[in-house]
Amino acid sequence: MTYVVTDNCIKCKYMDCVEVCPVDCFYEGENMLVIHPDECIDCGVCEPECPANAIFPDTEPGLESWLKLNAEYASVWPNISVKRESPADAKQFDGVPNKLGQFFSPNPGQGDAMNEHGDDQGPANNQSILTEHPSHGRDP
Amino acid sequence: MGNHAAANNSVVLAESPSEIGRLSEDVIRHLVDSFYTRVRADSELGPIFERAIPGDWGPHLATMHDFWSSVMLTSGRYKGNPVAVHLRLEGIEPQLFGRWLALFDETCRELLDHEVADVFRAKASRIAESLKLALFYRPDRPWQRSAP
Repeated sequence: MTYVVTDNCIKCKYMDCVEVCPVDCFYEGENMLVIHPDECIDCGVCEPECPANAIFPDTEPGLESWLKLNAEYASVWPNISVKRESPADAKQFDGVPNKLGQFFSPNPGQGDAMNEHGDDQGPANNQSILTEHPSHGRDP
Repeated sequence: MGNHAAANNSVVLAESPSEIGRLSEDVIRHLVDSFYTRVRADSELGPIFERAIPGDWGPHLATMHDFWSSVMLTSGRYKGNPVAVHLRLEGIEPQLFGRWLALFDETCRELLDHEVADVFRAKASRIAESLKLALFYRPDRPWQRSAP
């Protein structure tokens, strides 16, 4: 079992989840986060933290395709454990139905790497930058 | 040592209208310490833990304070890879997770209110199941069958 990130994360990407995750199992795409199913330990901490209510346990019905999407992109997107500013228009997209078909981007996000340049107020846990993540190129 | 503090914590929690909201770092620290005292004395779990942590238990206890603080208070203090750590353990067997859970639950019931103990049990059970699957079975990886 694992938790999975679903449709409403797309274009919202609030990133509150990455701060609380004890095992740093979130990976960042251009406009969405995913959870690595092999790394998630099912603690459930992230679920109530998500302002977009986009995280669910995979025991809920109908999430098979989301589980596959999470697994697939977690293996190519960079790891993220430090929250940054969410997109300026996040609120406008919160609750918009079927974002996957309209807006999903397979491109990787920046992950934690940019935070080392001190570009924002990323609080606390800077040691989590230690998390090794492959710096993938532009496209998966 | 611990009994006094245990009783006090229990009273504090019982008087609160929202017990889980009153759960503090101190209570978690006390719970973790009490639990690992039992683990070390346990005939099944003790030897495995003593082998894994042969010297000073301070760092392990501090790690576990952080872990449970992260899980119960979403403090984000623990950052680690528990699967990798458990993979290195010698003598770990699937059925020991049941023993671990029973002992943990027993400790929670003694020190905490029902409501809080129930939350700890639910979290611990899910995490234990997840670790067990990761370490021993990995039978169901539906995400690996085919990419969408």
